[in-house]
Amino acid sequence: MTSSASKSPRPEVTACPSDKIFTRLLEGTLGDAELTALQAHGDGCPACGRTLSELARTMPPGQGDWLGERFQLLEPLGIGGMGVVYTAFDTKLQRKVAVKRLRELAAAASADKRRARFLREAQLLASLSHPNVLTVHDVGGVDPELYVVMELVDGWPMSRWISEATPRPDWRRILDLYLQVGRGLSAAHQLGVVHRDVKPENILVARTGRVLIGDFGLAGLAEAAGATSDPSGPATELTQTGAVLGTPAYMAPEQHDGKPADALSDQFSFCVSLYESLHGRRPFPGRTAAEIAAAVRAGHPPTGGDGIPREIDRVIARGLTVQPARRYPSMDALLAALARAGERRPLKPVLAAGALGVVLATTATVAIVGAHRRTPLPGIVSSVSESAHASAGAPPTSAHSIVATAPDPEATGGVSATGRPHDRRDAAARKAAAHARALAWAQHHPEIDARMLLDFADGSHADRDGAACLTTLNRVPLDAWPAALSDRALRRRATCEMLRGNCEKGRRMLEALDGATGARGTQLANCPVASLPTIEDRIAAVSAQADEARYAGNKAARRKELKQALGRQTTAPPIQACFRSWNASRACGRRLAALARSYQVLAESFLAARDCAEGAALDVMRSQISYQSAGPEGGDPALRCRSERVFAAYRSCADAGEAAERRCLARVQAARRDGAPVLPDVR
Amino acid sequence: MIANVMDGARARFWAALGGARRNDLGRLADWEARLSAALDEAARAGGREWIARDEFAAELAARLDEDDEADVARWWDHLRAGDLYLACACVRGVGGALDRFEQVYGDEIARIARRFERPGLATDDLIQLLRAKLFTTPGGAESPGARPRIATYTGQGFLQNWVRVTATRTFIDCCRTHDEPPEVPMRSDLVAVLPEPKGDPELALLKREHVTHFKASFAEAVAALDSADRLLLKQHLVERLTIDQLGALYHLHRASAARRIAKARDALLVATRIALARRLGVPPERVASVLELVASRLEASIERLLA
Repeated sequence: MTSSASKSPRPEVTACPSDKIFTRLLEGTLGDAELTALQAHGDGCPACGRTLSELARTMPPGQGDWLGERFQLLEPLGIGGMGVVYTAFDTKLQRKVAVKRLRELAAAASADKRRARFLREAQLLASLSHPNVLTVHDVGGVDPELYVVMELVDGWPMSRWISEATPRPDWRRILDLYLQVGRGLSAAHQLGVVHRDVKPENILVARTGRVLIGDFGLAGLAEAAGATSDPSGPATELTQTGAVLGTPAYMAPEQHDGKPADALSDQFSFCVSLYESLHGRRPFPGRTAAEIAAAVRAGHPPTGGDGIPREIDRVIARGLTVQPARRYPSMDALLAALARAGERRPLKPVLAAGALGVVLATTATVAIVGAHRRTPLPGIVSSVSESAHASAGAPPTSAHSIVATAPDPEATGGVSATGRPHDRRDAAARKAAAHARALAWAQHHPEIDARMLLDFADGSHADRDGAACLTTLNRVPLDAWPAALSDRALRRRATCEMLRGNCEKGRRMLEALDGATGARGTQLANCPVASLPTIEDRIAAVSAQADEARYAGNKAARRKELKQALGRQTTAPPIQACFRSWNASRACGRRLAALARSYQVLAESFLAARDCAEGAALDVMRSQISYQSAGPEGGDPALRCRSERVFAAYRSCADAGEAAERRCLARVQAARRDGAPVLPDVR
Repeated sequence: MIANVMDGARARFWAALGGARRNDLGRLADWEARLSAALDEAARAGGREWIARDEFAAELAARLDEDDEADVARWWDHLRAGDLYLACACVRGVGGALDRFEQVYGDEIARIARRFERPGLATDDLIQLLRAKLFTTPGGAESPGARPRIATYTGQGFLQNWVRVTATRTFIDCCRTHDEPPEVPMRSDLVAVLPEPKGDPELALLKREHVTHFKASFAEAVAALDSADRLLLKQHLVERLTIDQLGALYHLHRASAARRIAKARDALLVATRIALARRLGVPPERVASVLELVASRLEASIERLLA
């Protein structure tokens, strides 16, 4: 403390450092003494001090940063919705790698679990060495940042590779690349890792001709941060209103619905990508997420044309089925079908097979039959290629092939390669019978493995048939599931117990896996609404299950059931819980109590809205609820802005249901302005 | 044939080199391979016709001679031959090179220039000023010894970084001569920035009475800070640079940058406290309450005192 208090403490100013010194500062090649001298000079010399600050401000994002002790970032390669990709230098192994930095993912409440899952999956992937999967060298990071260190591939994303190649690659070449990528995806699935965001941009074609899939599991992480995987375009704006995430154009319907993605969702996205790459256009057109979602739900992408064999399109179409259970049971099954469809473009006239035995005996012909026949032959269940596969002595690859191969003496129709039932009259009954037959058949076939059974149980779950699901699962004792499947099996068992009304039992099973919060979400989606103890749980469950019901066949009946379950409660529920389920808790302020009643009105009009416009009205409702919870004079401006934009996007929807819902909202708003939480009469 | 060209280039390089450097090179076993690699890199980086291979070899020798880097191996390590080739061609006014420069660094320069834009000084004007400085000889072509700024790029480190440095420095210069905003004057009355203590008249009195002492103590503490730390605090608190930006600039991990800033801030507080206790002669706990009072506004105070 020798210096006296002076008004402006400045050291002696030395001569300004040369450009070279500053350049070396940016390069990181300045010695400690030189750096200290530069800083000391910058402290005294305003111009150089400012130069330093400006250099820091105009630093290309991330350049020069260290990740841990080992990786130093070199230059940004590209910016995606999930983070920035850099080339980086691995100082330990002296090689260049690619690093994806995932920033601020800890923002969301559920982030921890997803981070944990992501890390687990990344570690699994790191253990996977597959020529068609982008190698993950390392993952790491501290809050709030994660990074993934990957193999650096010199090449192009599939989308660019196709668009820039002249002439456009032949369909055979594209199909071949996709078959390779599919094998990579399948290898990951076998580890229990789901990609969640398969799209041509995530498929890399290396200069060497190798093709790889990368960016596993990142979409799941982005979910935690409320981010989307594709930052551009209006479609992704919309995804933020619900729990819907991913890249809308490639998402499976269940993902559009905010449900977690699984291997079958990957299959769907894979098929969208393949279709787009082959045809040069997407199977489900649309400019916004909702338009795309509507097209996806409508199903039936156009087949044929663009010089692509119809057989291939048929296989793709099955992968694009709305109901996950009707897609191919696994990537391997899809790939086998694709490979067969691609191998032959037969133009020979085909002999009609008269009996099942003949069909099964002539493997090659069967596929041709399947490809060219318009109307199914009586007596043949035609996932033809798969039944042929089974008959050739090899074990069937999946539950679906069980269905296909089980002899069905009474069959009057079948499921075509597109998965479209030919006869809808008693589809459910036929399906149940087919399942029963398949199970019976499986009884005598020890080679049926656990994975098939699990696929099968998934199908029952999708049909909300808890009893059938449990029967299937019980065929393998609890402790006999292979390690890779045991979590999945336990989870499925828990959800099916919930479906049957054994809510508490299911919850206990899940808590061990997912923690209390995760278990609760599953509970809401699966337990019978009436069995839930509190009104807020019931409201949340209605919303969750009504979402699912949109895909189930008997929509109207289910809605009625849900509405009855909701009951007509007039007491104000502890509304925070409801809002949590709407992803809106962060916007909830002190007004919650006042909102309690209006919220119930909203929940009811929510149900009403379902009748009319499906996704569109639903999204409007969602955003409105977020908006409401933010309060009229503020709340989160971003949320507010978003909900207004969503609202504007659907303003053209002059649907009766939407109008009713808007009237209802207006009333709620009016009531709130008056300060009185009056419950308006909806009817 | 190729060997001949290489020999020609090597000979030119050797001939252009001073005696001291020849000795240094003699101890570096692979200098010929390094030279050859550098010349190849240069040829790949730009048009072959920009500068003849052996002429560029002579340029390289000149840079090595001028450089103050004692370790020749390190000089080679940090040499960006491709970048230097471009810069040398720009000095010679090669059209293709000037176009390439614009193409590669134009966006970067514009990005920096936009930060300095102000009424009467448009981005385009700034860029034009920089171009003139980089590529034209000050005082006209006849003035002896004068060279365009780009000739001072030594090839040590990426040209991109050098461009960022020169652009930033040039623009700061332009702004200063143009209309430097007056420095934020230090508030004579610090009372204004200190919060009014509620319900504690004694503290309020203390604050009013001792504000002069506080100011003096604080200034003393600021002066006593290590100059690197002072700069860091100033950049963080006054210039509002983020931890990430500072970390990137000084090649510190963000955790280290945050630690250093926190350390500097603590040092500042402690020094202020000691000085204040000495000046006031009040019991330390009294000093603590005064400081607590101001701690919430410390950043505001620092802004004013450091500016």
